[in-house]
Amino acid sequence: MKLGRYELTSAENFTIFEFISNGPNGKIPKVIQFSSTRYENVFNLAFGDKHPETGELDDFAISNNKDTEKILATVAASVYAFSENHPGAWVYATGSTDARTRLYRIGLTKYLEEAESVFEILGQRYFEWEPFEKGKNYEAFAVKMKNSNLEV
Amino acid sequence: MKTLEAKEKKVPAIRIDKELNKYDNIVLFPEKLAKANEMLQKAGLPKKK
Repeated sequence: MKLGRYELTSAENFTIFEFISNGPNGKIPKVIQFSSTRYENVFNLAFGDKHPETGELDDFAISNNKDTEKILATVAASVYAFSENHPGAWVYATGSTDARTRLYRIGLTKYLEEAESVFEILGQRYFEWEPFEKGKNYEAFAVKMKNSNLEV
Repeated sequence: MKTLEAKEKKVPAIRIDKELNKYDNIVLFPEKLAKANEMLQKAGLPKKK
C-alpha cells in the first residue's frame, strides 16, 4: 500500500502538527493536535482547518478540496509519529460529526490489516470498548502502538 | 521484523518547526477535548475485553 500524504511539520514534542491541503479550493492549512485528556496516557486527537490570515481554527470546516484520502493518510502518519515519541500512549479519536466518525471508520477498515500490525485498535460502541471490527459502527476509536519488543 | 518494517514504512519524515512549540500548553480544540473527556468518563479507559 502506498498512500500519498502531505508533508508534516511538527513541534519538538510531536503533539502539534501542521500540513497544507492542496486542491481545487486552493491551499488550506490544517492543524493536528494530540491533547492530554483527564486520563493518564490517553490523548485526544483533533484536527481542523487553520484560517490562513487569522490563524483561527475550525474543526467543523468542510474544505471540499478533493483530498480526503490524502488528509486521512497524513493524519494517520501523525498518529505514527506521535506514538513513536510517546510510547504506551493511547490515542483517542472521534469525529466532530457522525459523518466524520464514519469517515475514520472507513479509513481504518480500508487499511486495517496494516494498521493492526503496528497498533492495537479498539472501537467504542454503546460506551463499551471492543476490538475494532470491520462493518461495525463505533462512537469513537482508540489506538496504541504495540510494543515492538513483543511484536518483532 | 514485520512490525518494525511496517512502522518504518509509515513513520514519515517530519520537519520540526520550533515555532509550533508555542502551542505546547494550549488546547487548540477545547470542544473536542471536552467531548473526549465526557465520552471517556462514560466508557472508561480503552482496554481489551
